[in-house]
Amino acid sequence: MVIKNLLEIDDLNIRFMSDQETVNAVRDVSITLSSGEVLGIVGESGAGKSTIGNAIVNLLDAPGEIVKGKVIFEGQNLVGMDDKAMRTIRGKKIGMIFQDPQTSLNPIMTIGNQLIETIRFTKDIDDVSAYNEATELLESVGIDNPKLRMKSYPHQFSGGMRQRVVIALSLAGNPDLIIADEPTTALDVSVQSQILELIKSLCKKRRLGVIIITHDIGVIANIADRVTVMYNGSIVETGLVRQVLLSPKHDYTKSLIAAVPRSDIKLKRFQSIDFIEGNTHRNKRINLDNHWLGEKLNQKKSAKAISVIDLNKEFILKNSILFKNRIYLKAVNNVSFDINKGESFGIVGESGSGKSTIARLIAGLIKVDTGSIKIFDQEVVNNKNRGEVINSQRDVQMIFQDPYSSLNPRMKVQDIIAEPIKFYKTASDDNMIIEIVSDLLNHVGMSKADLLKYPNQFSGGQRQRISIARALASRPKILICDEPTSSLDVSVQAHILNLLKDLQDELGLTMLFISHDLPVIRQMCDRVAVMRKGNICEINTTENIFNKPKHSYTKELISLIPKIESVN
Amino acid sequence: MSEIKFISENKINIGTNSKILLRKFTRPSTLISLGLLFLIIFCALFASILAPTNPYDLKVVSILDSRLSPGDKMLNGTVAWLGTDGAGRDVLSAIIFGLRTSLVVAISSAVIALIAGLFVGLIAGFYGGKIDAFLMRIVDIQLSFPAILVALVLLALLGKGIDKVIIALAIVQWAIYARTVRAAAIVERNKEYIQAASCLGLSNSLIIWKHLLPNSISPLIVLATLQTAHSISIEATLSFLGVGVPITEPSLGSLISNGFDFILSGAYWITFFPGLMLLATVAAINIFGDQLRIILNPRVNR
Repeated sequence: MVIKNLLEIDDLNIRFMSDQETVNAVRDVSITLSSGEVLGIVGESGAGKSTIGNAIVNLLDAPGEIVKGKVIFEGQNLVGMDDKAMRTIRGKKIGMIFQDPQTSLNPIMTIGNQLIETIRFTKDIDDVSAYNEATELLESVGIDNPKLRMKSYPHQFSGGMRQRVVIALSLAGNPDLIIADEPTTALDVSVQSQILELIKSLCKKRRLGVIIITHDIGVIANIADRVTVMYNGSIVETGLVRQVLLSPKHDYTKSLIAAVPRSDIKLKRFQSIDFIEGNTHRNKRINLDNHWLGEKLNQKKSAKAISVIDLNKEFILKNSILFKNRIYLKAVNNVSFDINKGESFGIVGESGSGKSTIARLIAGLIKVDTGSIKIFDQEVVNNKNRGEVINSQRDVQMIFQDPYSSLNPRMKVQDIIAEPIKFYKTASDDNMIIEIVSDLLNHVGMSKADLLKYPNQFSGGQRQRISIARALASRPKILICDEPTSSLDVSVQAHILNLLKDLQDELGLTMLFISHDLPVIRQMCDRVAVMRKGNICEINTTENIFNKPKHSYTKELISLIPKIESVN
Repeated sequence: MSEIKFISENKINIGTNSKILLRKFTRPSTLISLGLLFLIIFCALFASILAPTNPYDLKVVSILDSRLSPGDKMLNGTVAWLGTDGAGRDVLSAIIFGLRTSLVVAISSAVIALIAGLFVGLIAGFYGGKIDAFLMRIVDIQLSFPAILVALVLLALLGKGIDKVIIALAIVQWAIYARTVRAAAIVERNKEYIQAASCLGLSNSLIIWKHLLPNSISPLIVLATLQTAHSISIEATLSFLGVGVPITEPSLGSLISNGFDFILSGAYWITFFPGLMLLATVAAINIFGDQLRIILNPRVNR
């Protein structure tokens, strides 16, 4: 039986009022959902998509309030319903799945007890039948040995398993509607596809209505039947996934889809993405012959920018006075690779594969256990000559993942970028420093007016631009980018990736690009190393990795990429 | 579909912060404690002008004025509003002068302890590992002794004098600062801007000075106010026990102990009023410190 209008949101308006300003977080939103259907709500941060999810179950954080509109669920208007009545719906009729499985489970209760508690809260049954039902639920979400696992605590499960438990919890009351808010954002790509598959099959099997809230168009393409695209609190487009993703009508949808890195072909740049950060054009190219960045750029003869041989790094997981009781983690295990001058080399792998550790080892931020790292043929590991090491390390600069912690919050933008110039004394006087700094800012797409501001006055994308300018200010020849865009919205990511490509072209930089995101790697890199658990599985050109993967793990990773192109 | 306004990403939110800060500052409890604090500091600064008599000018002090009750007239005509002590000194004037001594000792010892603690804490937090373990064990040992006991022993070794008291109080307090700074420094040390700075090749001392210090110092502002109040009371205790400041420059504590002999014979004011002043001073600083903590905490936006 298909209920036509399981959920009907009609003209919903939500605003957040504070002393300073009123934010209309959701404006005139209307959505319908039938049972057995998966509706995706997609949008970038601040689009209001999570606010809608919270509003459905009356969980809006103060000072948020519903100004007007109705949320009709199974014929009942949920807006303005009192807490007591709402509790009979929340958890029983509507289940919820949150982003972080780490925090949505109680760490000091066994999985079994949490399930039984929830089941007994929603149904009037005794402990034994609740126990039986709990094991059945665990089995239905794909957890092996449910009877044994009932006794485990949340920390004994991996992230993906935990999310399965959260799904089991949300199913405990036999709901008709599930709201999943970024259910796979905290998970690795291989786990993500399993979880999405699970949600999809549960939806079909139990005739559930599912709302998936996500920023990831790939997720939508994989799982949703219909999609609603939101921008700045309003719906810009709603329709069947196929229709919206393949022939978007609205300009915003078009640029959003254009900004998603493709995994099938390599594009020179991301096109037609000017919709959002439209005012950040770089107005001129850098000509190294007469530019400050090209000055005294003593061209190194070596063809290899970086050469890594048998690199090893262990971390102590558990310390002990007795050596034999110590537990080590081999973060990097006998890794060797070369990066040619001017090349973009990518390292891809899931979390914990050791890819960031390699970046930090090369940048000299942590000490190497054994092995050799040569930067332009200059050995930097165990080199007693500090001057040589510092000189080589200066050629290597890093761009970090988190733009919110990579800039000193107490320094002005001007001082942040000027620091390497002053330190290496590459400018003659203060006026020249200011000139260079504003020129660098200009080249990363920001304006002179930003010089005197502090980092907290900028968005994530802008901060990442400042980080790039700072890295360039020491005239590096090698740029290490450690997940430079993974905490950014997809449109901002496209802009930053374009910027990095342009700068590499103009400056002839060598790039080591680290990411968990295969499509991003495909767009950015010439050659790729695939890492797993501290080992390199495969090194090959990007084309070969994506089209003719050799190693089984590479094949698995490639097959799991959510693709827009493969909409069902 | 309604009209959609497309905003660019660079929407900036300035100005609101200072508004919130101002609103926090103008709450009654903040204003009262701040007012009291200003009054106390003002009195201490201009003691020689504000005090009705100079209690340490032997030409003025007369034994005939001894133990006058509050409100009585002294020989030279001035009214002793808070009475006089056993030597014929005006208690009000003695309090105002005593306040000065107390504050000088407390503030200078707090500043010395803060600088020492900051240094140790930053080194421990930045380098970590063995250096951190070593320094923090010293801190642990220091903190495991009662402050008053350590101060007593130190004063027994160092001898008498205001400078000795300041040194003793600084030694008693540096460990608390060191531990607080270390905690803040460890959090900051793991942030990426510190790594970016070492990527640039900056020396460790430069990174500590330019990047770590400015970002680790804010928890100390509150701690320093609270510790100042604490050191006022330690100093008062030491003076009460007779090992504190010299008799020629009495602080609030020595005034209290001074009147202790007379308290049973009915001359309560010699002890009571300095005690009240001590209470008011410590309370004002403590309340202000608490308010400061709320003001500086960005998460409390009321």
